[in-house]
Amino acid sequence: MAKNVRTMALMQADSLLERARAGDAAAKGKLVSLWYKRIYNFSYKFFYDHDLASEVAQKTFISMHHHLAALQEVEKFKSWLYTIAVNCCREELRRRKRRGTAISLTDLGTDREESLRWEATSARYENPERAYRQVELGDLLQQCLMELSDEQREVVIMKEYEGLKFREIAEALQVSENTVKSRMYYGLTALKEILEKRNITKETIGYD
Amino acid sequence: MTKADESKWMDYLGGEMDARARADFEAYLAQHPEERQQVNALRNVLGLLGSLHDKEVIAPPLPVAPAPRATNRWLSGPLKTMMGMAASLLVLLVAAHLLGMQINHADGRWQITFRQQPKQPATGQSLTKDEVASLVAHALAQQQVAFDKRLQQRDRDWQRELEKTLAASNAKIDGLIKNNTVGTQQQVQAFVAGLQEQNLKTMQQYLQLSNKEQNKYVENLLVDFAKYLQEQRHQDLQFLQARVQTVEKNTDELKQETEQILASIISGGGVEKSN
Repeated sequence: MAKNVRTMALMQADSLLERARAGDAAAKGKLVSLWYKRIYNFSYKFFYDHDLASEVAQKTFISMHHHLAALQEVEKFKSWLYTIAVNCCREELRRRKRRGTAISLTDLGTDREESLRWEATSARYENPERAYRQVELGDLLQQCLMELSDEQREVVIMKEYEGLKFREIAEALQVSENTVKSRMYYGLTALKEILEKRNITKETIGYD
Repeated sequence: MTKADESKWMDYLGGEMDARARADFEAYLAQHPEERQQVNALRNVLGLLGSLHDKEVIAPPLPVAPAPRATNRWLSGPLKTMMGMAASLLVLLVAAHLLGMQINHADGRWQITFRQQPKQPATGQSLTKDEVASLVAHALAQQQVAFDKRLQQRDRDWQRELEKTLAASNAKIDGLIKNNTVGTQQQVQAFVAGLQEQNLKTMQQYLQLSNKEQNKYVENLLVDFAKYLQEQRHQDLQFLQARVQTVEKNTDELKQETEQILASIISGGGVEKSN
């Protein structure tokens, strides 16, 4: 039964992509609504900034709209879309570096009110105290992620939060699979040290 | 730590190891506690990262313009400008040729001239007013005659066309009436046949019901008659029995009287004595 449902979902996704490639505006709109949350969250974790994440997500889908017809292999749509998102992120990074407005941790997470961050999470429906601690922890982890190099951060986010396989990440970043695994290994090792330095362990945060 | 080890560790932690390789690797870790500890430390890092959740967002309407059409690179940039200028020059040359433009340079002056239109030669003859009126009247008369002819011809054509159309319409109407009549007769026949059949069925049902009722009535009548006869017979028997009893009683009395008379006769003298 679950296999059949999965097969049907995949067939539907393929059909949607084919229609979008043929220029069906409704199908493209559906693709955007399906993938927006993923691309936004990828960009958000990469920049830790809502405005930049929104901008990158918007650019990614505009680019998708213009170049979807040229996509040859429909089955590689996911990695193709992340390629666009990564390129948009890198372009934004370069632009900010040119302007001398590189992202620093002191800029991040401080210009937003606590209530906004709180409302932006689904945790608000749970136990308030626990949910608030969850938000705090999220912020801490996000700051730790921001201490990684861009390349390591891309890989860690894609693997851990976007659920891409190493092969898909390699396709998206246009590097070898071993390079991806190496970046992941060094990223995790660096994160371990950062977390230890900040004394964030499963014991200190009550992680199960 | 070699690159191969890194790859294996990442496959293991990333859940991209098949069951057999996973079992082998876990067996290896069981024998190497130091590496197991390092792997577990990285696993804990992944566990902590799991506490960072997605933001809830709704896809906004995107300002998407139609996809740009593929442009011909030959028709872009400076080449496009030059092509435009060349086309404009060509148009000017063609226009100049058509207008017969000539550019002369004489006596140190430039002169641009256009071809003159040839003048119509004058006829050299003029008509008087009466002649013109006569010509006009003649032309009008000819025009009138031709117009009358065309009108008559058109009337005739229309008449023929009308007759033809009327004949066709009549034929169609006759056909329709005929078809309709035939249709009506068939419908009446079918209706009558249906009515007859319905009547027949009704009569059959009526007769069946009537027969049943009659049979029942006759049966009841016979039963009643039998009962009457039975009653009558019973009464007759009672009457006869009563009569028989009366006759028997009379007979008995007569017998007794007779016996008494006989007894008196037999005794003889008694009567005479008594007399």
